[in-house]
Amino acid sequence: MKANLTPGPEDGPEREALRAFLRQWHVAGPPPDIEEDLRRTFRRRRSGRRPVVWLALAAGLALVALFQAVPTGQLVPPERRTAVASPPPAPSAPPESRPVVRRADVAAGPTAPPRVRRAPVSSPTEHEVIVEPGQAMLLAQLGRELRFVQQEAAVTTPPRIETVPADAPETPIPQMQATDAPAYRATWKTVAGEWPFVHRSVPDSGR
Amino acid sequence: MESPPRAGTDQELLKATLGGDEEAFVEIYRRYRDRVYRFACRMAGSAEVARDVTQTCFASLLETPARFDGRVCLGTYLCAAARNQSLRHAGRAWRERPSGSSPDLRPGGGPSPLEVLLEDERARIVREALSTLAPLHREVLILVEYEDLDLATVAEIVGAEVGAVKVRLHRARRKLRAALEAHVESGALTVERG
Repeated sequence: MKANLTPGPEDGPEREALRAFLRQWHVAGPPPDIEEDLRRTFRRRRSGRRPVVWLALAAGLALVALFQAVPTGQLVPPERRTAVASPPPAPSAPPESRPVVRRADVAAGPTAPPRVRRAPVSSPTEHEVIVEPGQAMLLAQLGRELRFVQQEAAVTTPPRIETVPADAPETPIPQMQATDAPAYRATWKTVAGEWPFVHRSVPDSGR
Repeated sequence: MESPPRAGTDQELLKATLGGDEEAFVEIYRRYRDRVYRFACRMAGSAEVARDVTQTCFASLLETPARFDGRVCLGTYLCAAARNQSLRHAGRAWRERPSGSSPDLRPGGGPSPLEVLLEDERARIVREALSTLAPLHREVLILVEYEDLDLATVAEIVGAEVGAVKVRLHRARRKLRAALEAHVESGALTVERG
């Protein structure tokens, strides 16, 4: 049997009979109180939205009033506020395995390690420098030696400058004697016939 | 006493509803209440469930209006919402419904007590025959036979292809015919042609 699947006026008698059977179950319309319930739902939602709007409006007005109530003179500029709010950077606590060497103990000099920076003279505070344990000993020793050299340098006399008049007789420049040459130069010789030309030290059994 | 129907398309009424017009919302309800309620009642087999489903469907227009994107007409959308709600309640409602009670709500007066008794008996037989169908078969049969919707609209409501709806409808009719055959032969059901 081929079923007629398309609903319409051309339905077969079997389908008409089935439809007639089904129509014997009558269902009336919805009860009227559903409409009242939906009306109440609608009003509740509409009234529930109002306090949210009013609350947002009141919060905005309160913020505006708060900003206007604060005197302008008492307001701290942002940069100053930041400076006041943030404390000066605290020195980092050195680990126990690393000794702390004060920069004042280390005299600045051309031989100072590059990692140690010279402290400004006008700085009233002494910054701590964190170094390795062996490096600390070397820096302390270097500081002591440089301090000694500076003390000795103060004792040395400046070079003597002699003023010679223009009509003074010429003074011949004394020739350098062969004996004045350093001893090690006598042991050097030019190695001819070799390329590249190099000066090679002559083995000296006496040295 | 209900106010006269209000003019305007569904889209206009829905827009007015979202703008706070209560009467526009009531007009939407009045346009589609019968279809939604009857469909839910036949799907769930319970007037109480149908009432809850109807309220939930129309309240969803207020709660989540963005779900209705306008791709289908509002009636189809509400039927689909009722279908989803009914499927949740369907199995439980058919099981929990006491025997003998009928969701049939008829206005008083008219038929005699004997005719009322016979009609109740026929309605019970049809209702029980429908309850033997799977929900997917039952819904297409109800939408086509009771609500007179075309297959394309039914396919939109149930979220399936038209071909799948045809197959489900065919199987639903075959099973329903088998279930009603015994009652027809015993004379409990009569064919009303008209």
